[in-house]
Amino acid sequence: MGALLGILHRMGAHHYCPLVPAPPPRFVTERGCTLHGIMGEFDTAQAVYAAAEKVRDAGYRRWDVHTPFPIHGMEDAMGVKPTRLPILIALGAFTGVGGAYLMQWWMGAVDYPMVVQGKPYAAWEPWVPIMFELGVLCSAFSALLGMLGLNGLPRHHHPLFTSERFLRSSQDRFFVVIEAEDQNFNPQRVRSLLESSGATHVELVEDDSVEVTP
Amino acid sequence: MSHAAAHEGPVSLAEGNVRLRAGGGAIGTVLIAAGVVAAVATFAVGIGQGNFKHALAAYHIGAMSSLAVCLGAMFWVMAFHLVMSGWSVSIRRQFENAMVLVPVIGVLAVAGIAADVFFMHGQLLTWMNGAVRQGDSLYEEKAAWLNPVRWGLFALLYLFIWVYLSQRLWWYSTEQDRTGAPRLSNKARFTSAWGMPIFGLSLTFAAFDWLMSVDYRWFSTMWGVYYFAGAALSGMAAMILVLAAVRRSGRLSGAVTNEHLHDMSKLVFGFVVFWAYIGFGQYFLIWYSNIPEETSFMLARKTEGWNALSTFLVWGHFAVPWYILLWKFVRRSWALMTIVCAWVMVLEVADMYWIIRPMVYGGTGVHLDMWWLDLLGIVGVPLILAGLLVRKAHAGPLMPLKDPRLPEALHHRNYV
Repeated sequence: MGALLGILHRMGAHHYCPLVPAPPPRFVTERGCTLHGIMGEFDTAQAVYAAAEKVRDAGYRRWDVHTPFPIHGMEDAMGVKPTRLPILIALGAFTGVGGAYLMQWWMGAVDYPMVVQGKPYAAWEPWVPIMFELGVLCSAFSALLGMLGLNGLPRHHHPLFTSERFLRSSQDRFFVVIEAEDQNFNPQRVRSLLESSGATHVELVEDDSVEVTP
Repeated sequence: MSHAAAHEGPVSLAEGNVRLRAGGGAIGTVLIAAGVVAAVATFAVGIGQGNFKHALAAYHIGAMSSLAVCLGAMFWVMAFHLVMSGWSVSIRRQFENAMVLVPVIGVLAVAGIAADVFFMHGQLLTWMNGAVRQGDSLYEEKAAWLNPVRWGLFALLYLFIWVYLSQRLWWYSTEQDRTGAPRLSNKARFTSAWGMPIFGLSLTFAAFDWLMSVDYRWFSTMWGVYYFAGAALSGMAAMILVLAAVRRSGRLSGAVTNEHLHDMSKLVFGFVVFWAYIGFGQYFLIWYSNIPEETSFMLARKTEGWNALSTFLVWGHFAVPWYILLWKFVRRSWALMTIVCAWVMVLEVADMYWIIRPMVYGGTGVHLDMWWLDLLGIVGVPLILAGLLVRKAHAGPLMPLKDPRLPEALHHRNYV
């Protein structure tokens, strides 16, 4: 059970599945709040791009960059791997196509065979449109739900919104946030990495959504 | 963004990168000669054995497959202009090379069947055959369309449309090489705008006249789209092969990259699906309504020997390439896409074979004892097309060097 919970925590399941209890906090601030992560603020797109490359090379996994506009090439600077969503969509598609085939074969050729226009009971031709449509439907559902599952949306709140400075990420500032859940997270090292990358301001971000027991 | 651009070195537009070695086109002359020999030998053997019909069918399969490549390339050139696509500028010249060969390939495609219509009393195009059509009310209903005068005039009209459009677009592109005037891009776009519907109609009716009328009793309103789907697919596949060969000789380095291949492969993937979609649509409606004059075509190809080829087309032309092209690493690999595109080209020929060849001996029998005549006839025009493409590629710069959208193509990336 503990091992399964560990895997679920590593996948971040506790963020979007209410059935998974959150892991005990690894770091707690002086006020007694759970530490969400450490945020570095940058003045220019160039600076945050260079910082992202440094954080990537330092081997962090649970971190993100927040910018007011898309920066081309940022996914390379961050070392973001291609999404696994296509695999989920393919599974959905093959389920839809295969399910439609089996359903129509069972209904038309096994359970209730009926002569229509003298065609064979198990003629595959009329099944194709339904196989196609169910394939499209199931891949669309698995694309949407898989996307929501993988990115953890929708959510009502995010710890970053507790930071006043972070609001400027939609105006004119660029942010790198390294989360405390990262296996390599060490507050001193993260702070010095961000500062040496050219951050103009570094601050702790608390997770105020977790109840603190004094 | 400036940082992304800073990662890419400048692309060399020096002669050594955008022009093939002078004199390298000799292999093209060899291919053309081989193609002419194959075509002449096909007819010589066919007539010598008293089997002009089989020889013409074999030649016609190769000719219509080659014409599909030229018309497909023409479609893509017009589509690129119409949507003002920037990424495709560095690959467009190869498409233009194939497009501008339409006068030669078009005449070769129509010459064989025109000889049949006007001099051989309709051995393959049986609506000209008095012995077959005698007293057939199906023919008499269609006689206003299927007669040599209308057929010949329309063949000239189709050729005129294609030659005019291709020469005009070719002139804009090569004139821009010389002057660099950006307004020529707008003119090419304008020509494509009125040219596209005319192109679509002429291709549709040419497919009726040159392919569907082989069996004059049969008809399908989807026929033009079916030929177009194969044309757009094999046009794109052929150009991937050409660009792969050009890149192997060390040219277009940095100008045509995996990013361009990725987009071309997506279009191949799309048209593999499109071909299957409309091909099945055509079959499905005929199968469902079950009307004798419509089912004759499918009946001949879905029973006994030809059923094997029909099944092979479903798997080879659709299912297998579809599954392989689902994988991004395939779509971005020149080596793997060369194999896939060569396969797609072979299957396009098999598709033409599936359309034309069963009509030679009628009935459902396959008659493969003259397989070598099939092979000889089929390679004729494709070899000529390949030779002409090689010579064309050597004749000028490998991309439109002064196109105003060239920088966009040189920095093209798929953000996936």
